[in-house]
Amino acid sequence: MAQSKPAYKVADIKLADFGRKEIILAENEMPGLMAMRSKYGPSQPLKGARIAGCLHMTIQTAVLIETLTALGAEVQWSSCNIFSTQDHAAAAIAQTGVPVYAWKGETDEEYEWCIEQTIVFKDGQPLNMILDDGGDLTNLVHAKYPQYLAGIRGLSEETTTGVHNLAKMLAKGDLKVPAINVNDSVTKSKFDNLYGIRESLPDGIKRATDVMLAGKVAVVAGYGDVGKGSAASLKAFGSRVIVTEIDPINALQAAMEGYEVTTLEEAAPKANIIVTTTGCKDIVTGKHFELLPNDAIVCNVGHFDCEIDVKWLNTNATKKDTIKPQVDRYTLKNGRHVILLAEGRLVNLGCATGHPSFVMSNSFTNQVLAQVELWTKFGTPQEYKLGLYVLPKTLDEEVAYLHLAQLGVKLTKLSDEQASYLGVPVAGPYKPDHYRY
Amino acid sequence: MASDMPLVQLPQRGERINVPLVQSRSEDQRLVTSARQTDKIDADDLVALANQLNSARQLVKGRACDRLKQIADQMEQLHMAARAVLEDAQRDEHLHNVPCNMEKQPGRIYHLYQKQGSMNKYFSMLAPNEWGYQEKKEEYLGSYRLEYDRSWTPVGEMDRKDEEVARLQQLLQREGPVALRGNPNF
Repeated sequence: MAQSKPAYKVADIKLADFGRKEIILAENEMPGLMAMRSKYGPSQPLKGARIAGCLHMTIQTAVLIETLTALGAEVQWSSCNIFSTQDHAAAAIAQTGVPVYAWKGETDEEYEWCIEQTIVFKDGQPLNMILDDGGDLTNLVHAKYPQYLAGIRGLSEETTTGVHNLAKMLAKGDLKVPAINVNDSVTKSKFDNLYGIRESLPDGIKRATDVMLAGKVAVVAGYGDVGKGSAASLKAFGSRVIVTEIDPINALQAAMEGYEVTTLEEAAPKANIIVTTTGCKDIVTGKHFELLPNDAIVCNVGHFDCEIDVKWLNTNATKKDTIKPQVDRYTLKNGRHVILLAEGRLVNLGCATGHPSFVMSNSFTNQVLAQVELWTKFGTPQEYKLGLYVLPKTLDEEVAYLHLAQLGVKLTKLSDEQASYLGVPVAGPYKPDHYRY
Repeated sequence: MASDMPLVQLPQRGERINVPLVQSRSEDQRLVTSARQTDKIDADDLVALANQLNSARQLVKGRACDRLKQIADQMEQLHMAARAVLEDAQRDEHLHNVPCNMEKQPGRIYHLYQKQGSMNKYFSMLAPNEWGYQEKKEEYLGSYRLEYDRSWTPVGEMDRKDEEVARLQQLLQREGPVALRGNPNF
């Protein structure tokens, strides 16, 4: 470890004022986290917790960090992606005295350095909780600081990728810390993926191209949660949406929602816009590009950038014009043009600013509850033993409940008779664990 | 031909001096003809004139040399200044081309490293003592501040540069109100 560890490392501490203003705006849009503060703030359930966090250092994450500290935790933070830090958010957090090590545009070495700085707290005390997104912090502690594992009460993981990693570690017997999978809370994946993309996809397309969506033929490849959100938002703008699917259940869902469902080969000749959401690879390839009408817009919102064959465009196009960063107009041999957004990477992050605060409040309230669960249950009969868990449904329901008041939602109360008729408790949980929502 | 001719011809050392004299009128035009030939040139007079002329020429030559020397000095200084400007520009250009993942912001200090066993240089936000790894101290090349005109100042020269800027600002503040007195006349 560095003996001269700095108190924080951010791009520019002078951005703190700007960051603070945006944090105040975001707080209004993150009622779940603010409710956690007013509910748990007085009892300080996280007192004594030293949480090392590794998650995109954005404005929304700043509200999460300040919620954790409001609940009594000591927190040190790094970002889980070398480019995802919002420097003003990091500066605002650093100014409150929370050690944060994150800036936009780290090198891979700096990235590791940043994560390492969050492991030992002041006075040489090591971390005793992990909050992770993607598994890098978890892996680093397991590989390089195994001496601290025994003192760690638990970890919570934000994403699919990280959860896969944890499942693999658990199967091999490598996982040494009880873990909660936040990703598979209903209020995370069913909201983030669906409602998040429903707003950030058209935001990305419009910021990049200013195209009129109404009347255009838009093809959405894949009808999972992200595909459903994408199709819904394009339809709401007045686009004529066509869906492609490989799974008969999802294909039928799309058809029943009133979308035309066909193959990309058939849809391509009239597709003004193509959005890939599949999570699979090789969705839009050379033969599709050649069929597209002039100036068709092609973009991706699936996690990885292998859905669109960008390599084919780069080798086969006669010309590539970069209109502005993340917006490239290719001229094909047939004389027509293709507009590619964000180089085939996530268009809602590349051309817009990702998910709005409100939907992130759902995800992050799950994170706070997971941390409180792991920390407070430790040493009690309900203690989480080594394993991979999802939050109990009561907590999932609580997360949703906390977001209702902000929207003016009035919830109907179940009477005792109704409750016994349904066979569920009056206060929930209302659904069995296998319920799909 | 003409280009070989010196622009200005100065007397050379040991050159025979011809004293140019005012041409006398012819005998029949004169009213007075001195019996003692007081209006005729004497050898002594010629020597005196020649001496005077000689020293005048030396002085002219000396003075020209002095003045030329000043210009030469200035040229030398300008040449050196031009060279420094070019070298700075080259260094700035070089530093701007060093691989860097961050968007560089003026006013911030960046640390330059060279990967061991390769020619690859890179900029980092971290100073060598912050890394906590010994190898980073060996890879370290120097630290630079990006200025608002997108030039780079080595950290060692920062104090001098800041003093210079502060002095100029003071000067501007002192002169400012004078220059701004009265509205501009458009």
